[in-house]
Amino acid sequence: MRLGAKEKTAVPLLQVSNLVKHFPIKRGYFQEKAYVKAVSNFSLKIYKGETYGLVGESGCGKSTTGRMILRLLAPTSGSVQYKGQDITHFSDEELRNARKEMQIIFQDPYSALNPRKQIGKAIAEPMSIFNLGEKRQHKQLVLDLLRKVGLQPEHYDRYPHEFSGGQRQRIVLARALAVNPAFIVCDEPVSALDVSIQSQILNLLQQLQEDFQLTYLFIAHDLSVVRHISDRVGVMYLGHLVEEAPTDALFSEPLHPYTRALLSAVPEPNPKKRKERIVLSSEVPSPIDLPKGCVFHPRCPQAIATCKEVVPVLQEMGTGHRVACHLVS
Amino acid sequence: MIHVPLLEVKNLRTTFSTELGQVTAVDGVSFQVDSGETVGLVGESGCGKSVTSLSILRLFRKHSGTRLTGEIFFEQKELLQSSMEELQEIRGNRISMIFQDPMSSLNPVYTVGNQIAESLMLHQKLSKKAAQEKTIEMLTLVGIPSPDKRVNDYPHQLSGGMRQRVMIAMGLCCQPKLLIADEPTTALDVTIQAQILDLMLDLQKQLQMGILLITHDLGVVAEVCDRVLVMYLGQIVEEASVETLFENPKHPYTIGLMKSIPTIDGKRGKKLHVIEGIVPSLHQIPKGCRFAPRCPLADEKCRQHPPDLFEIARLHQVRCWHHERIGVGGVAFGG
Repeated sequence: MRLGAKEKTAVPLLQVSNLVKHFPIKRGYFQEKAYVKAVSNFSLKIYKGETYGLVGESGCGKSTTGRMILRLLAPTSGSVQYKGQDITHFSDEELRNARKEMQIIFQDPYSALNPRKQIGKAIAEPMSIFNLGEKRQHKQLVLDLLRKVGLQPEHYDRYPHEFSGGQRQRIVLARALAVNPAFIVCDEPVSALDVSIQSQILNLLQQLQEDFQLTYLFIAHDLSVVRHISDRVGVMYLGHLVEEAPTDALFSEPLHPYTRALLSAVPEPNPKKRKERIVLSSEVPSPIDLPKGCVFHPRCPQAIATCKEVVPVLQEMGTGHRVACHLVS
Repeated sequence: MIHVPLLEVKNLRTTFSTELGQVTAVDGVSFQVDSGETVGLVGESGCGKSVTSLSILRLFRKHSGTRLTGEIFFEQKELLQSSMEELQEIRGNRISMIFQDPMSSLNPVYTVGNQIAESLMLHQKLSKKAAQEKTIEMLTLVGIPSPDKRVNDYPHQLSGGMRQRVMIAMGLCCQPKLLIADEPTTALDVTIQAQILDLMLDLQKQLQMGILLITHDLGVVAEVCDRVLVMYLGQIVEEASVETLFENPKHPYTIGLMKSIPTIDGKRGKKLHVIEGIVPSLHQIPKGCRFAPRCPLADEKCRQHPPDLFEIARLHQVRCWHHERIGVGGVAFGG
């Protein structure tokens, strides 16, 4: 489902406002307390039926954001609203109900499954936890789910070690779907898989989105994959959302210097197009001592004096294209 | 004059014994690498690309039940028959290797400077002081800021990109003739990957090294390789120059791989191409063509008889009975 003009009028399924996460780190007793500033002032809206891709390099805070949205991590400040309800201060009981609608799948399907549990039982477990339907019907529901994700009924009694990586990712998906969720956070769901398997899972994710009317937050570092599956894309750098746009706009007219460097660094499977890369100097600074001003300025090839002092805010550049950079106006 | 390649692998077979019996991880692989050339070895996990690279230097534990047959010539010297002492001379010196995960390839209790200097003192017989100086020079070369301080750091004090640079510095400090890089950038972010690949190619020009680059990333292959070998279940299924491979792939597996990756500028929103099924286990290798169970072109002949590598043009080989049915750009596929 493509969103564009509709975006402004519709009520978002998920609204994240000014989310902040600081992890305290231990230093010596007499030293000042320090924090890893994983996510800073992060805001986001996701609409029903869309896939929002969140990209960035390791350590940029994209997974932390995904976890805070499900309250698997408590935010330091800021709020998360799901269907208009602020879930940031929900009690455990209320959260459990909310999570019936919100699920997550992780990068590593090996560690996400209990090795001693038959997969049929693993998939049925969320149904009994949430008292969904009658117990007698659970097996039939699980068999239906197995078929939906491209597995066979005879897989019901098998253990996780009997499956390949791609098949395990299918099992994890079936388990997430067991509670009939509306929203799924996919945290690097295909990055541990081989290319030929990756395409199978991406197609499956799209198929399931249609069949179950799902909304995805798709977190990944692979830009080609994110471009393929997302309707809108946000780019994170050092805990900040630096650019956000409908997918085609972001990839055809990237505005932030970081987005441009990131796109130029993606190796293309076409030897005739060995392109000019924007090679960024040095490395990502430590999230403990964030640079003053724009967090990207120490590596930015175009940084000016203002960038070192003033933190840029996200500004609207036209239909849903937002960017946080002093050089763009 | 006969052209003698830097590295020539002939009919390499690597067999392991496992609880379930013998498995042949590499089955009859032959290829060459010339000086100054970058050869890509691509394939999915379990296809035998890493085992091929380990076999070249015979990096297997003694008594592990690994059997190597075939011939490997490096600068005209046969490596599989060489003694351990002779190999010791070559490893890390004339041929060096970079692995995917720098954290597990560096010793956590020695400083990175120590580890680089060690190979210089061992192979180049440098004094401690000269080795130290050379180490700092190498760290500068690979773009590590303030190398005179970093030389005293332990691996855990460095970021992933920095550690990979240290690995490269270590691999290159003895100016090897051949560099085997096993997924050298897979664990890194794209912007760091771009830096590291540029660095490797720069150094290649300076030192005229041959590079054997093992990767699963077709994007990386297209950007840096001259020639490519595609492996599937222990065998080479296609070999071609990088231009030919991407413009005119002939093996259904190669074509399937290329179609199944989403690109940064292709059409969006369409379903991705899928290679049906999964890679079979090495314990259950199909009888005929190994790709037949997943191949849209497979017929009875494919299922019964394993195809040879056919030379269909100069420097273009393909292991498929039906290569003639596949047109330019992999069209007429599935017909």
